[in-house]
This record gives sequence, C-alpha cells and structure tokens, in this order.
Amino acid sequence: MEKKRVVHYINNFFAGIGGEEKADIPPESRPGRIGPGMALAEVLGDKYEVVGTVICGDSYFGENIEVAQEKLLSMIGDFKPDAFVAGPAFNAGRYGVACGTIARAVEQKFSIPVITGMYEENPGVDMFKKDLYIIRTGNSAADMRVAMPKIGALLKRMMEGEEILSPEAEGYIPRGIRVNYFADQNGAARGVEMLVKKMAGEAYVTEYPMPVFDRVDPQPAVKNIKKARIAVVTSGGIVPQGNPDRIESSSATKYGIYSIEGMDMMSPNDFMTIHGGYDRAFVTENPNLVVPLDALRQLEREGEIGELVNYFVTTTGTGTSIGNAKGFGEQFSKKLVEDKVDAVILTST
Amino acid sequence: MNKMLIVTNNNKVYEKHKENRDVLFLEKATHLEVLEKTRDLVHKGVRLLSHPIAGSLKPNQTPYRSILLEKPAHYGDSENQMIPILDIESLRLIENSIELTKRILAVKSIPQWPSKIEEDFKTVDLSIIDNAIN
Amino acid sequence: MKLELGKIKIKDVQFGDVTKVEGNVLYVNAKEIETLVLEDERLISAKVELAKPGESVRIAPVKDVIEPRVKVSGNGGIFPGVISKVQEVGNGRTHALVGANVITCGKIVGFQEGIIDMSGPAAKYCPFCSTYNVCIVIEPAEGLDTHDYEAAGRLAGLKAAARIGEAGRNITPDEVMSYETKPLQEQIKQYPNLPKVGYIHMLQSQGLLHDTYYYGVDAKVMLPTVMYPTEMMDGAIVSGNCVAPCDKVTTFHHLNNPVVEELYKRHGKDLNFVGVILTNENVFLADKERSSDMVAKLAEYMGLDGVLITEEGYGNPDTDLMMNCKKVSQKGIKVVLITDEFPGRDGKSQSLADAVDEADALVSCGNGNVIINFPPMDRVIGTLDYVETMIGGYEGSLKPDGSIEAELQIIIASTIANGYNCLAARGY
Repeated sequence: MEKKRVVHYINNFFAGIGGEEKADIPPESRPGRIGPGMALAEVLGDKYEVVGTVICGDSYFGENIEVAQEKLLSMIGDFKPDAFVAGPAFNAGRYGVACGTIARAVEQKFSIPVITGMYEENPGVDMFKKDLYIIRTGNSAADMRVAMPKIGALLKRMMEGEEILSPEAEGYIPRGIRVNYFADQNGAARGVEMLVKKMAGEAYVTEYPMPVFDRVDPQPAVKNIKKARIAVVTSGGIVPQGNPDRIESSSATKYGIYSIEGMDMMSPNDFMTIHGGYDRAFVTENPNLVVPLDALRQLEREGEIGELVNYFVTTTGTGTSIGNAKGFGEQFSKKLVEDKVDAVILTST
Repeated sequence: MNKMLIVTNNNKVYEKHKENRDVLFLEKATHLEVLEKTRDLVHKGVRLLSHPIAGSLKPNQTPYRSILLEKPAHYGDSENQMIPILDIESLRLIENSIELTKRILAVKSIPQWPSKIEEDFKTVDLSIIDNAIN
Repeated sequence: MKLELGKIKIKDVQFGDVTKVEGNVLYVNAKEIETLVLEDERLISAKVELAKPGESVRIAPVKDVIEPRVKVSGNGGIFPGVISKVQEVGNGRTHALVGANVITCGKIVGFQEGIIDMSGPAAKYCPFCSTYNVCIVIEPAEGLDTHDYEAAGRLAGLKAAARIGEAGRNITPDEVMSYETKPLQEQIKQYPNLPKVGYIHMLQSQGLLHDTYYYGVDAKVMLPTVMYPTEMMDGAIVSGNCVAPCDKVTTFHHLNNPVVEELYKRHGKDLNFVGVILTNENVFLADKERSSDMVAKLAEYMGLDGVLITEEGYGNPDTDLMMNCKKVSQKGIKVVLITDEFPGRDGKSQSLADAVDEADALVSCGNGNVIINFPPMDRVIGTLDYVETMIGGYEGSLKPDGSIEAELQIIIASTIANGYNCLAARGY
C-alpha cells in the first residue's frame, strides 16, 4: 500500500537557517524532512512519509500574511498531502500564530487532517484552539521529544478516521467544542449528586462552565504622570456637532477620532452627544462631563500631567457588541502607540 | 389608550389583529429583519413585552416572528422630539436575540419550506401571540 | 402524602380479544381502542399498531408517549382534570404497566413531532426503543382546525392509556415502591439534620397550539405553586405541548420524573426531599419576572437549602431557567440546573441562549445539534412524509432507500432536559 503523505511546516529557526536575523526569509519548499521533521517521521512509522517541508520566516509571515499564505499553500499542494503538521511552536508567539494560520488554511483548502502544537500561553492558542487540534507542549523546544509523539499519535488517528478522544486522553488543548457521550448515570442522578456536594460545600465540577467574559488585567502604574502623554477615549457618544461620521447612537459599528487642538474645553457649540443610553440633557449643555477637557487642560497647565494628545477617540458603548468594541480598541490603540501615548483615560457614562 | 404594538412578518397575525391593535406588518421581512426592526424601535423608547425568541422554535427553523411591544407615550408623535428613554433590559434581550439568531443562521439558514409547512409556522406564531395577548 | 406504586413489568405486547395482562404479557384489543379513540368526532381514523424492542420499526411523527396506569385505591383517578374528574391524587395505590407505552402518532403541525427507532444506531438515544409500544395512528376530520386536532390527539392518547391501564387493576405487581412526603413541617422534623431539598419543575407554556396541564389547568395561566411529588405519579401533569422532539417532556416523563425518583432515592440519607415547586415558561417578560420572583419566594418560604431546576425547551426558556437560578441563589439557596445544549453541529457555539454567573452547577443532557444517521427500517408506523420538515430534519434528510440523516433533536426525548437519559456533552 502506498504510504500516506505528510507535509510539515517549520520556521527559519527550526529549519536551521538562522535566528532572528533570518526571520524575514520568504516561503521556501524542500523535499523530505528537516529538523523536527525527523522526530515526526520516526513517530509516524512505516505507513506514513514526511514528503516535504515548507519553511517561512516568522517576521516575513507576520508582515506578509496573505502573500506568504498563498505561496505556502501552493507549495504544500505540490506535495499532494494527506495530512499536515505545523510546528510545534512551543512558546514562540509569532511562530504560533503562523502555525495556526497556515494549518487552518490548509484544512480549509485541502480538507485533510491538520495538527499543530503550542505552549498554552502562546497567543496562537486562543486564536486557533476552536479550529484546530493544538497539542499542549512545554514552553521551549526542550519539550520536543515529549510533544512530537503526541502530535504523531493524534495525527495518525485523524488520518485513520478514528474517534478523537477527550483533550486529556489525546493531549490537545481543550477546543471548547461540545461533544456527546453516554455517562454512567443519568442526568438526574448526576444533578442530585452535584447538589449534595454543593450544599455540603464540597468540590464539584459543573458540566457546562458558563461563558466567561473578557476581563482586562490592570496594567502597571504610569511611572511619571507629570511627564506622561495622555489621551481620552470615551464610549459616551461625544461627537462634533452634526455627527459627521454618523456614529450610531447605540450598537455602534464605528468610532471617531476628533481634534481638540487649541481648545480649552469642550464647547457645546462644537460637540454634542449621540449616546442613546442616558438622559442627554446635561451632557448636551456641557460635553466636558463626558470628555473632561476642561479639567485636563487645567492639570496640564499646572504640570500635573505631561500633555494631552490633540485628539480624543469616541464611540457609543450602549448595545455595542463585544466583538466590535474589541475591534475598535485593537485599531485605535495602534495609533495611540504610534503617537507615543503613555496612558489613556477611559470615560463611560 | 392602546399602548401595545405588534411587530410581525406573519400575515395571519396582521389579518387577525389589524382592526383592534396597532400592528407593524413587515410583509417582506425575514425573521432576522423583524428582530432588527424591533431593535430600532427599542432605541426609540419602545419596550419589549414578549421574549423576542419565544416559542422554542430555533431562529433557523421558523421564517415567521411576531413580537409584542409597549409604546412610549410620545410614540409616533412627530411634533414631540423628546429624547427617548431607552429600556436597557429590552435592548439587552433584543441584541442578545439578534446575536443568537445570526449565530444559528450562520450554521444553517432557514430552508425554503413547502407552503403547507409555512402555514403551520404561521399558525404556531399566531398561537403564541394570541396566547400571550389573551 | 403516601403513594404505593405497583410495577407490573410488561415483557411482551400482543393483539388479543380482550385487553388484559397475563403472565407479564399485555394483550390489546385493537378494535376496542380504535372505537374508544373514534368516539371523538374530530378524528376519522385510528389504527393500532404494535412496536417491540429490537424490531426493524420506525415510528413517526410521534406526538406523545404515555405509560398506562390505573388508580387502585386512594382519591381520584389517573389524569385528574383531563380524563378523570378533578380530585387530588398522589395518595393510596397506583398500578403501572412498566415497559409498555401508548404512543400517539399522526401529523399535527409539520415540524414538532419526532421519530422513534426500535432498533439500530439511533435507538440508543431514545428511552422508548426498549419498551413495548401500542401505537395509535390518528387522522383528523377534513378541515379540522389545528388546535382542535391537537386537543383530539392528546385526549386520544390519554384515554387509550387509561383504558389499557385498567388491565393492571387486579394484577399482583412484580414490585411495589413506596413514596412518601409529609406536610412541610412534619417532613422537616422527620430528618432535622439533613439539608432540605426541593425540585423546581418548569413546565413549557409558550402557547404553541396548546400547553402543559396541571389538574387540567393550562400552565400558562397558573401561578407557581407547591405540590407533593407523588401527585405527578398519578398523572396530575400531562403534556400537551409542541416543542422540539428532543426536548419534549412526554406524559411518560411526567409520570416517571427522574429528578423526583432520584431525590426519593436519597431521601433520608443525604437529603430531606420536602416538595416540588411547579412553575411555567411564559412568553411575556412580565410573566417571567413574576413567576421567577414567586419561585424564589416559595423556595425561601419552604426553608430550602438546595434545589434542582429543570426546564423544557430551548431559547427563551433558558431566560426563565437563569432568572430562577439567579433569584433562588440570591436567597442563599444552593442551585443545580439540568438542561440540554444547542451549540451547533460543530459544537463550537454557546450552548444556551442565556447565562448568569450564579449558574455555576449545571448538568448537561447532551448536544441536540449532532448529526445522526438512521438506516432504513422494514416497517414504518405512521409516515415518513414529514421527516424533512421536522425540527432536526432538513432538505435531503430523507434518502430514497428510507434512511435518514438528521440532527439528534429529531428523536423524541433524546436530549430531554430533566435528566432522564445518560446522554451528556462535555468540552473537547
């Protein structure tokens, strides 16, 4: 019988091309196995063959995602793969994201089993765990000899169409996918048992953990507030009169960045609120209640803060989806970082 | 004063209640569009009286949806430019329902049902509304 | 209140000249049952067919499943307020034909009835694949209004089950179980050192054609109330509602409530089961607020330490479930929820339509969206005409050879959210 064909993705470092100085190399393709591919071939055994290895620098991938992905997919396709392995990436963030991105793309394009491996704190985990089997690894390449056998074992099961068992049994990071099974006892018996434990203050395990909402850890304190560059970001719906960008009064799909250059305070002649979630009367009279420019200018003059950037960022918080809010934050914080903002004052309503 | 408003895309509901109730009939609207229209109304100060996904029929099964709302005092009064008071709980529920509906529709859209089945869905939707009103 | 439940174990069902139980075999006079059902002028045809475990039989579209029972002594009769006159039940002695069921089938509306397979890979998801079933296939009079047809079908099943149950009146049961709950104060005194536990039983009452009935009262217009658990065993609650097939709490499940059964098992050992709070799942938000307020108040009033809560249905009943959970928890009472899940076919979406922080102890009854393959069966009781429009079915579900590909939710009571089954879902 013909051997099943496996293609392996690794970065510049694991390909032995070089470290950070080689992180900008574009995709390349080589027949056969390289570096960690040796260990992969060993655990896969006789019925499978690592027919090719594709390589890309981590920075190149990160900066040219679309080009890199397209090129890699074409190279991978040339090997006529039956399965695909990326990494493992351990705790390397950019490598993890690249492994996840390319593995998901391969699965979508070729509909073949794909697998990768990462340390649980790798940012690629949160991005891809729902879509991919990510074998849980240690935080450095020293864990390769433990990680690769798990990757090989699970990949073989996937290729053979066997049932994939629980995260604990297979060693992958829980994907948050709900899968049916038959428990030993019926639901009522398990429920009563859980209640008896809960009432006695003993430990019990819920069978469906409630979705957790994103919580943001507080950042370290600003070292020297008197020199800090400050920006105001608000979800209070303050916009220039006439709402030029037509930001919605609730369930916002956009945000705005507006100048406060040369202004001493937020004048009601210049600004209005469009927020649909509170009684706007007071803020209409005095927009400083939401964007406290008057107080901040005073602090600026008194030297209590370094300086204010010459704009504020605004949207409407009420009814706005977490997804949209997160997207806004990801976009405008890039600008804030570029403009060397040290700290942000977030005002809500 | 009749404060109740029915938003629906179900002609059975419209035909039955148009005489005695304020019915906003969205003849061509999809299930999701009925929810979205309701969301818009909530922003104008309308409050939800019935749960937007009542009936245990999943939003990718039934094409028909009727929702009971309560109008604020100034509803429809174009002279009165009062700032609406938003009912946050209504907004939470309708946004939550829209999100759920979109998520479920992403998995599978509403099939093109045979007309007999469509009639059944209309009947059930009407039944929910009638039971809620009475 | 004390009920002795005599279990007559049925190990086969056959047609016979007289409806009777003999040597653990149920004999059914089909003509008698058909005549009984056709007393209702709203129905023009009724046909009795038998389905046994392991047979290559598919039953569809299933409306309700009812275990035949008879009241041997004590007040009232089976299904009070619906079949028997309104009188308190739950005391005395009742006989049940355990292992036999009456199943009503026939189209009512095109999407809310489900499937039962008596063998094959889909059978394991349904509790009725292992029972001896007397199926009644009904047809409505021409032009009959949907609501009237639903009511006629519901009554047909209950009447037939009560009639068949009569066959067990003078039979010596194989096993007699005794269930007792005393008036609240006495019950608390009986086990003063055990935690006082209640069961909050949520009845579907969305007004989908018809609803669940308690002593004949529509649950929709009822305020939350306290009941003795044994009342259920005599049929004080009957199902008349349409929900997704997988979620349906059939009348069988009201008679055989698994939470009640489990709480009695541990009654006097780990806990003191003091009673049931019955509540509804209405469409109106104000009703939801009012009912959950009252549920929490009753739980507090009864001095409960812990409760189990079960729901029927998906979507907005999740809101009732979470309101009950939150408000009862806020009274300082420990809560465990039992529910099923609908996280999509890939299992990646959120399972419930609503969530609160207090819902930290939840039992899963499985993911209803999973795709199941049903092989063809030799015999179909009812019709497969509506498979593709049933909840869980879709265009292309029914194959030319009679096999079916559909979501698990098409199977009656497959993910029933009261904990009757062993099916569960876990995070992968």
